[in-house]
Amino acid sequence: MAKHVIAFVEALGLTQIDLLGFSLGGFVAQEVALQSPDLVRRVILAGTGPQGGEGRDSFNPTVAEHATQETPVLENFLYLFFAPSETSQAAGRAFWERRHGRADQDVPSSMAAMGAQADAIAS
Amino acid sequence: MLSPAEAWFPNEPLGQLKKIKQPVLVVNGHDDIMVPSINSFILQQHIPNATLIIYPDSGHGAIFQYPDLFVAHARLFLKSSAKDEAKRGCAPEEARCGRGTSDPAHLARGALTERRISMRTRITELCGIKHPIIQGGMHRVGYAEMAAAVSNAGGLGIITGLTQPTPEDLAREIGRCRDMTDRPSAVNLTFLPSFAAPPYPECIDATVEGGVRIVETAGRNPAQYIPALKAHGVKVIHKCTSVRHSLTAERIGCDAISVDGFECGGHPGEDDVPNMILLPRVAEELKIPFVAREAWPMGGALSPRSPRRHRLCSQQA
Repeated sequence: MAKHVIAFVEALGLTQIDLLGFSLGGFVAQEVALQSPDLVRRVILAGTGPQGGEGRDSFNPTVAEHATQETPVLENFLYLFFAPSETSQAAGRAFWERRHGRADQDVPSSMAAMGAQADAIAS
Repeated sequence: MLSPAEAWFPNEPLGQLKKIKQPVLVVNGHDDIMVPSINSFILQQHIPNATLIIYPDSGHGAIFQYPDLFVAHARLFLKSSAKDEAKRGCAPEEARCGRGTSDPAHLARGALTERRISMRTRITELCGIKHPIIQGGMHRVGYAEMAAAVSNAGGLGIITGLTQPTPEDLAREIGRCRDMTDRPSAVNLTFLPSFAAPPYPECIDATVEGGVRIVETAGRNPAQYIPALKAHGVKVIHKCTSVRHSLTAERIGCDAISVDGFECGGHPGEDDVPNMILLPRVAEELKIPFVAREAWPMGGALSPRSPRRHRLCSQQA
């Protein structure tokens, strides 16, 4: 995935970038920074971790269940991305509305894409 | 197929991270259940030039929860030059050193300052108010004008229920208050022993129907009225003059306590314990938040390096 990012950035004709990687994107961003140090000026890593990090044991089945829905709904999203408190859940609902209010929506990712992501992480 | 977690957390050394030479900003929520938050700390500890920010009361989607704050932090991080960082240490430090108004760091500092002056406590969260200041429930003073003025100033204004002769008058007063402010305000209901008890159930109806979502109770134990209030999602702040009364109020389901020492206005109880002694004791015992009654001219008096100061706020009576 890092190789794809580097190829994409070079195809855009960019010679130096700042990189923001969220979650799985954060794994990729670390790899891009390592593989192409001259291309990357600064990196922001959000909601992510290192290879060999901690938490394998705490990746509980409920998280896995919420995370592998073909069509994630608000409930999955609130559980996975926000704290259980009333304020955090309310912030989650507000974000959900903002996200779905955008005119330019991403195509939803498929189960195939989810599998490919997992494979990419493993390789 | 390996799950993402199984694949990404093999027992491999973290040595690769020290090869990342770029400045890195690491951010996450307080309790991320997807990629546990401890990993952000591990990143910061192993990447040579990394800054860590953990946002409160949030999870994996912390950057979605605090978009403005995150963008301010990100801008600050991206705008500071490598030279500045070498000189000053780290990007967040530069925010405090930002000089001109055209300086992006200065603009970001504005966002940070706004957060500092908007003191967030469990009371501000509970009541949906900007400042942790609650008006006292005062007979013949707590009219709509007073309550709306306090609420408009960012505190919690209180209409004194029993100052209104009838529940219908109370309903009208609540309506007048709503015309004057769109911010949260509360109603005080004082339960006192009496041969001709005021029509409390009707007062509660008027309060609920008027859209009030916070009630300050005072006087006797409010237990019998709690179900009616809770049924409508009303938060109950009960006024107490002792630790034992506070604990009772907590047990019966009150959301917060207004703690009333011997020197306070109104009825100071019968224990003669002043706030200097009562407040720290209540802080030791209670799990729910509380407000310190009395006039507090200096904020510092409320936070003598108390580890519990985040639970305190003042109530002007």
